[in-house]
Amino acid sequence: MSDPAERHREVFREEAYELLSELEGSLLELEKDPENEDLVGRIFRAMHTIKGSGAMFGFTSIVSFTHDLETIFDHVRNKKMQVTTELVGLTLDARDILREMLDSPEGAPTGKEAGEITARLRGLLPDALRSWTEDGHVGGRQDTAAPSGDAGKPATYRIRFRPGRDIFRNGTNPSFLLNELRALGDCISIAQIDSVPALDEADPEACYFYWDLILTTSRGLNAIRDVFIFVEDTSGINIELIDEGDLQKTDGYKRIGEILLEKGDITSEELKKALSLQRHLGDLLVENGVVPPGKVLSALEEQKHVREKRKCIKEAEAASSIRVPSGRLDKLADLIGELVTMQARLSRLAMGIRSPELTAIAEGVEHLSEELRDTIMNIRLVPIELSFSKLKRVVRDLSGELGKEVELEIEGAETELDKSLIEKLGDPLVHIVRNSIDHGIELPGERESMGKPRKGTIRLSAAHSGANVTIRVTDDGKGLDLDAIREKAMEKGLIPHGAEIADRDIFQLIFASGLSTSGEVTKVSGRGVGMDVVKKNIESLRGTVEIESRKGRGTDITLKLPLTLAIIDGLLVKIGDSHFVIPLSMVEECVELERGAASAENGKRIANVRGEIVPYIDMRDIFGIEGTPPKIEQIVITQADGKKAGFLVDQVIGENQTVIKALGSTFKKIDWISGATILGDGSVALIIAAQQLIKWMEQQEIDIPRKAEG
Amino acid sequence: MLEHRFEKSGESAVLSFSGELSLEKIVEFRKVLLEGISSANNIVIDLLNVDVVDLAVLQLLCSAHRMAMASGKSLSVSSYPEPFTNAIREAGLSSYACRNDSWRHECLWPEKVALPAECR
Repeated sequence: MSDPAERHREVFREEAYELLSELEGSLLELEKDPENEDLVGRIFRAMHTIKGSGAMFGFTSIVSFTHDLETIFDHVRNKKMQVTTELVGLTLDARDILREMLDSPEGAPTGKEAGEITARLRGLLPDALRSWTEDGHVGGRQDTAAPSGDAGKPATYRIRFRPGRDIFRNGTNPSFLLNELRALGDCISIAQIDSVPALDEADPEACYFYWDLILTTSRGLNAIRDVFIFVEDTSGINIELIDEGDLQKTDGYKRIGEILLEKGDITSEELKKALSLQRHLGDLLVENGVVPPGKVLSALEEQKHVREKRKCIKEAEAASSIRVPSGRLDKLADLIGELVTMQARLSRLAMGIRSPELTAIAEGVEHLSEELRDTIMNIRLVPIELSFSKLKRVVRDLSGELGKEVELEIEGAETELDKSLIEKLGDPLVHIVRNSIDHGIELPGERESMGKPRKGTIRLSAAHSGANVTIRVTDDGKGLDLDAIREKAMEKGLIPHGAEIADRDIFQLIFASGLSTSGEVTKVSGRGVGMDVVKKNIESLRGTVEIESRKGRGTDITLKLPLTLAIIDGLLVKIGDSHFVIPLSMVEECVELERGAASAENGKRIANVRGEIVPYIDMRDIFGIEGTPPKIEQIVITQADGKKAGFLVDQVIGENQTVIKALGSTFKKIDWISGATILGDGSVALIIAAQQLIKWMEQQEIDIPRKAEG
Repeated sequence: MLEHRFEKSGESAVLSFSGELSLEKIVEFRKVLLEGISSANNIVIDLLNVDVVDLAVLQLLCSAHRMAMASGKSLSVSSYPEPFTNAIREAGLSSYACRNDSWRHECLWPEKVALPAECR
């Protein structure tokens, strides 16, 4: 992508993707609130921006298609057309086509489909508006966007308007024209009074004033010309583009002499002469009668206006955001990871040497690298809104398809999460929501007969909890049928016949591959693929999925995810000569265990922590580490899914900024190790996936009692 | 019919106008101004009670000011009711005040309407 043109096109694509999702969101809102003018305005602006930038980068078919859409919404905006479900539906389809066009190499036309949509949209136009030009575009006023200084980008114009002497007699008040110009943008007007004669010579009904105007507008030259349309034959109108709002030229603006010279108000000789006197040029020119004050005023105002505008643009640009490819942020995060590792080595070295000076430096570097780490993580955080708004469309389309009525409620859309997590979260969320609509929410009639409102509700919520984000998808549908799942699971051999299994564990079975209780296989779900993939995806993000359900009342699926994937706060522990890291977010406390005080009941290791029975795992056993353990060992107590479990280690070293490195494929099968990290001395510590290890322990039939509720 | 009053005392004359001052009455307005300038050396225009002032009127005030200056007399406006200041702003005349003193002779328009925020 070294070709600058291609880079620009890529930037356009990214911007257009964002605009398209904004467009989608606004359309869905508009469907519910058809009278909302703000939404119509937002939709129109999104289309307009896509069209405008598309034209700049040569996406002609996108421009042409968006132009048609824009024209339709212009009619909506002008209240000549009503917002209907059909209009929203077709526009949503059009949005999808635009998305496809963007994805194709040259924004290639999908020809027929786009034509079909515009034809159907045309069908929605009231008869009076149905005037299509021959090339298939919608009729009406066309914005001829294009060369610099025209509609779209704000530009500054210098206008001299010298009305005909008879303008008053012809019934035109120049004030109205000035006001019309002012309505186009930011305008300064200076009346020129040098042609006004003394009263005894004046014709009171003649117009002697003429005007210099400086106008900054994004409406283009034609809009300015339109103001003068009825007086252009009898008046002198001179319009010049003097500033295109070009950021390259933020270095102030022309000098007064230059402006006056450019406008022909003075000659270069007069300018030279005045300059040689080393005083304020304006004063000199006026005093010497070279120009009337009005001309200098106009030049001064022009200078001030353009300088202010340029400053505004510069400030706005500085305050706004910049677009960076996420790959660069990934690279930066990687580098900071390396830096954190280096810093750990430095700290270790400083401790070894016992030099106060070096220790101070090491502490400084540690502080900085921590701050850097937090900053880069923050930069990578984006609101979960993007994932959620995708679901609005899923709900709308699928409920329509299945004849169900579903309301989607969203809470906490502003909750932020690492960008890469958001991307990977999209599909699992879609799966869950599709399942809720297909299996959960009943048909309207069915719901009414059960005394439920016709319309089902799916509630999406996101919230931060510590270093995690919790996302809940709740529906008020029919809930999970425990008996059906149990039966199906037995049939598939997932659980032994007649086994007593807790409800909670039965729910977890819906995540088992190949299990579907759906009587029929629809195109939506029922094939038994989906929920197992959801679980795998979420677990690959070091997250968990929990499910709660009540028959007839609904289902509640909770996803818990870490805020970030690259660096975590870990607790560094030691067994023999080996180091391990346990994610700090899971650690509740550390307690000492004296050898001999340990009790084992039926081979199960349990500790008594202030009266509470906590099972623990002897890490030395698990990892087969030889040697004699110290007399006093430590149990790191963790909590997950409402269960407490301990990990017996030799020594707890302390907190550690853990840069996660993936392990090679050889270790892929061991799911209770989530990765490794490099320590300050260059050695490797394995990162324990505590939850998976606990689960593995459970499978080894070690009973972990659930923490008492409350 | 133009509503006005003419009061003369010594070298000074006060011309007070009220009601609507606009193009329809401009010929009469010119006549009154001409009479005023010819009859006194210091002419004060009082617009306190005017309801409407239009562009043609502003232009003629400017023209009267020129004539007075040319004949070594003074002409000023004594009060600035809203219709008058609005008209000045609308006409693009407000930048003329607050400038270098040496330009003042060109400028009839009072400083108090020339604040930049009000100008725009």
